[in-house]
Amino acid sequence: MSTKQAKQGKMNVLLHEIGRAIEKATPEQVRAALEKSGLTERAEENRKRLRRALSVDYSADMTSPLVDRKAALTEFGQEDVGAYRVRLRFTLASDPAMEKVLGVTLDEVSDLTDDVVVEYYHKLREVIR
Amino acid sequence: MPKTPTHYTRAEAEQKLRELSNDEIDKATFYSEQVAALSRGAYDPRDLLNEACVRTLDGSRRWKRSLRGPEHLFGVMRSVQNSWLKRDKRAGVGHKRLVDSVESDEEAVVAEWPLEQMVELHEQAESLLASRKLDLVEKCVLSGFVEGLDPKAILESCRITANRYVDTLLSLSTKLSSDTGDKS
Repeated sequence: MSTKQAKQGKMNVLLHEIGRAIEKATPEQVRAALEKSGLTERAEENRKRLRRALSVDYSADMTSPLVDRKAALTEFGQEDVGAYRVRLRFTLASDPAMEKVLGVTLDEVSDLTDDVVVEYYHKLREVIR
Repeated sequence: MPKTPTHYTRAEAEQKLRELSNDEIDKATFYSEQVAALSRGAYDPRDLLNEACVRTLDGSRRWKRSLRGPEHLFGVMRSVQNSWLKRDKRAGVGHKRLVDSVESDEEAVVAEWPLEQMVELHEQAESLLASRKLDLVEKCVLSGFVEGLDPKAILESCRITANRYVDTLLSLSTKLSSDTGDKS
C-alpha cells in the first residue's frame, strides 16, 4: 500500500466518524458546533430561505414518474420541462433577488408555456454556472 | 404481502422535505458547509443544499426510507459536488485545488473521498496538530486518527465518554473546514 493510500485510509476513518458524529449529534450539539463556527446567523437565514422554497407546491409540475419521463425524453428528444419548472420555482422562492435577474416572478412561472420555461431554464443555468 | 417500498415516492419526498424541523435544517446546513469545505471552496454551501432539494423535488434523486432528512440531503450533496466537479473538469473550468479524480456514490452517506483530497486533508490535520488551535482532547483524538487508531482505541486512550467524543469530532470538523476555507 502506498503512503498516499495509507493516508487516505486513515482520513476515510476520520470522515466516516465525523459523518456518524453529525448523524448522532443532538440538536444542542449541532447548535454548539454552528455557534463555534460562526454559522448561526447563516443558519437562521438558511432556515427562512428553505422554508420559503419548500412552502411552494411542486406536485403539479411533474406529471409522470422519472422513468416514463426519461423514456419520452429519449424517444422524442424533448426537454424535461417539469423538472425545469421545479428548478425555476425553487430558485425564485429561495432567492427572490433572482426575479430581477431572470426577469420573471415566482407567480408567473405556473402560467408560462413549456417553450418559455425552457428558455428561462437555460438563462438560469447561464446565471448560476 | 406486498413489500414495503424502499424509497419514498416523489410526493412523499416533497412532503418529508416540508416537514423538516428547524434542527434538521440546521443539521443539513452544517452538512452543506462540510461538503463545500471539502470541495476546497469550489462551490457555495447554499447552492449545494439548493441542488439537493431540487433533485429530490423533481424526482431525479430518490429518498431511501431508511435515511432521515439531513442524512439523505448529505448523500445528495456529495453526489452533486462530485457531478459538478466532473462537469467542470470536462469543461476545463479550473478550481483552486480541484481534485484530480472524483467518484460518484449514489447511495452511501459517507463513502470514500478522492485520494488527492484525502491526502490534503491528512496534511491539513497534521498542520492543525502542530498549531495551537486545538485543546488537549481535540489533539488526542486527531492524533489517534492520524496514527491510524480505530475510534474505540481513541476513546480509551483519550479517556473520554462517547458524548465528549461526538462533541470533539464536531468541533474538529468545524476547525478542519475553517482551515480549508482559509486556504481556498
